[in-house]
Amino acid sequence: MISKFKDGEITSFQSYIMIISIMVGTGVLGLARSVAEIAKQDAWISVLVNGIGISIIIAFTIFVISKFPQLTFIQYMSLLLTKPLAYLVVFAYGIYAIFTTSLIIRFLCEMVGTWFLPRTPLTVISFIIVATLVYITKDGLTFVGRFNEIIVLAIIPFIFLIFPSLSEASLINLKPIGDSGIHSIIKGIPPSFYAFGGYEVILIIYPFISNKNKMNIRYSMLAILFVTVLYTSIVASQIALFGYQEITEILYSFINYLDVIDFPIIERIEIFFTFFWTFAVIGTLSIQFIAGCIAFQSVFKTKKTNTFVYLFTPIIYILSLLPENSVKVAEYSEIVGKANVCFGIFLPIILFIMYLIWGRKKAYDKTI
Amino acid sequence: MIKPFKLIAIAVIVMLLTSCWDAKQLDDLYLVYGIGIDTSQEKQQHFLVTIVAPTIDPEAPEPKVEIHSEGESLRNAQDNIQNKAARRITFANTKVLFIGEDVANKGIGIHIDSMLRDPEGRGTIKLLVVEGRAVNLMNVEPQTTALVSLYIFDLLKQSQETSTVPRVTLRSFNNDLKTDGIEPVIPFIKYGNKPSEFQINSVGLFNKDKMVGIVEGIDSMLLTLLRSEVQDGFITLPYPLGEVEESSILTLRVMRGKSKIETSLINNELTIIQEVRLNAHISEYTSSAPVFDDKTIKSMEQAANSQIKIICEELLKKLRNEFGVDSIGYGKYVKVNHPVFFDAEEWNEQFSRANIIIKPNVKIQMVGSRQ
Repeated sequence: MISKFKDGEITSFQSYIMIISIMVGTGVLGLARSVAEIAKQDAWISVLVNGIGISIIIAFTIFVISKFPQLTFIQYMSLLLTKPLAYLVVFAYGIYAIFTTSLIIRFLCEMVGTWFLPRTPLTVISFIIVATLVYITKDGLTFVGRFNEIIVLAIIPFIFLIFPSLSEASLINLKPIGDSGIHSIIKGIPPSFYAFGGYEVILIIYPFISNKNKMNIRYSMLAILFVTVLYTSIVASQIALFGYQEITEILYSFINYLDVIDFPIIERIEIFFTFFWTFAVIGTLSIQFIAGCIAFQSVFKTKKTNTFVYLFTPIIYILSLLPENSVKVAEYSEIVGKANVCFGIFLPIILFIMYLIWGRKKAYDKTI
Repeated sequence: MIKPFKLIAIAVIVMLLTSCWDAKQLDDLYLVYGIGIDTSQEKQQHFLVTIVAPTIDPEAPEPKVEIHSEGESLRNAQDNIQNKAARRITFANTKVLFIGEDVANKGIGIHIDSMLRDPEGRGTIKLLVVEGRAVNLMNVEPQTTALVSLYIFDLLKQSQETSTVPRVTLRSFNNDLKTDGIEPVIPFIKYGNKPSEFQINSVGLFNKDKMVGIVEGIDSMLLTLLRSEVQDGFITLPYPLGEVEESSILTLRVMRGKSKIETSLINNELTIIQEVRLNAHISEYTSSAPVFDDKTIKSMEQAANSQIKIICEELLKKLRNEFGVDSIGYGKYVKVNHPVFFDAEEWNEQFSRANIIIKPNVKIQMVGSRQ
């Protein structure tokens, strides 16, 4: 049971911010490339379809868990899926969150190592990121919520930086619209799972919202749609600039997108962008990590979340250093994308079905 | 006791944040503004790379330092250059890549990849093919500045601003190289009458990454026009149309240009129609006849349309018959509109056989300060 102002509550507004913040991170850099490899010039349609689908899924998710407003993740899972299965799923989610956190740290290390500090060892870069992460998360979800309320502003430059390079873009690169075929457009959706991943954190954080209300579904959907519009614009503008043939060769297409025209005053605009992007990724990391720690806390029933924050610190540090090279990092991100399907799509659907089968009565019992 | 400790800790942290501990002073670096690349004259398959950097130190006997080195690739030669330099060389400020004619003929794809792969290089680096060898150009000492790279960069900028040559950067070249239906181009620099005089009013035409020919003078500007990159520039024509000796000269300043490309495929016969819309001002008219009436303006517009159509068709004839490359990018439109007909591998051949119609549409908006 969640009691107000004790277990690290957040506000509804913070939950919307956290949905946006966890989604916009490392995935955006290579999103256009990974989707355009399959959906070609229609990659933006795949991204749009995926975003709309996810916004519907989040609506179902919140609809179900809002029926158990007094219960935590593991408690309502136990009601809907039986206790042993609930423990298994929550434990698996915890592992997924920790693994994803390590991968995002490694992504950040790769970027910092490539663009800023090429001669600094990855061990040092990763250590600094992990130390920052521990500092942000050690005091629980409330502090992570507040941190993200501020850090989400780092996403604003993403929006404005789309426009300058459009002067070099050509609409012909987006044509013929739909010509890659419905099959390719649908096949182009899975590569964007990694970029959209993270919204499933609502399963964990929803019980901690202190002012739950009927608008939670609507605004959470709007948060997802905001990210969808942002991602669709980013992908469409990058394909309009590079064309789908060139973009498939560019590893971090968002950064190269900025390296097209000379900006006045700011000579290296891509480095200027990376500065904001780093903060956006720290926001993603903080939510993903605390969600994993909360999952483990609920499984092992410890008093404090920070027990797991400290416990997992060396683990995420070591895991972040394990991939041998950038190719391995990309391979692991595909695995995370697939795991995201389990927790972000299948789990909410199963929960919804279980709720329809026998959850309604249990929800009613719990509310009286 | 805790408070002083906190204050000391904060002071130490603040001191750490004040500057970069490994900052490098400008006079510890060679800032490279231009890189030249030629084929090696001694070893086949090797390249000669040249850099010129300012010495910065006011006490240095020379304002610039020029270093050459050979290597198996651009990056390898750059590394060898570092071995000859007393300071750390940084390529982050590179503005122009000078490509020797030999290298351009041989193919520049590997060098473009090398430059784009390294994040230190920028996508906005301008490309320039040099008549002869790049190393000779980089030896020249212009009268106005110590660094030939910066001088040429400004010269290139002027030529691009007057639409004499297309704007080509590392990124835009790579885009044309990787995209089906268009072949890349790079501005070409020639020597003038004096050794320190240069002229950029030519364009090197590429088939994939190899240079196959050059178009010069008005053709260079027309190529820019047909690639829809015209922003400013001048078009001179005889008016009324006829022999230049008999007619007066009319010069139009193009203020803005747009073009629209349409394609049709009837009985497997491809027709490409390009409408070129230009807004222009009268910049010069050598006749004493007044121009300030609608009839004359319309007549001038028609004359300009006819003249542009003729010279554009001559350029297209060269591109199709002489060089066999679609440097304009019609193929991108054909690929979109007729994907079954379009053959990426054979496009230049299809381009040569296509029926291309140019429809200029010049609008004279202003006549200048005289009637």
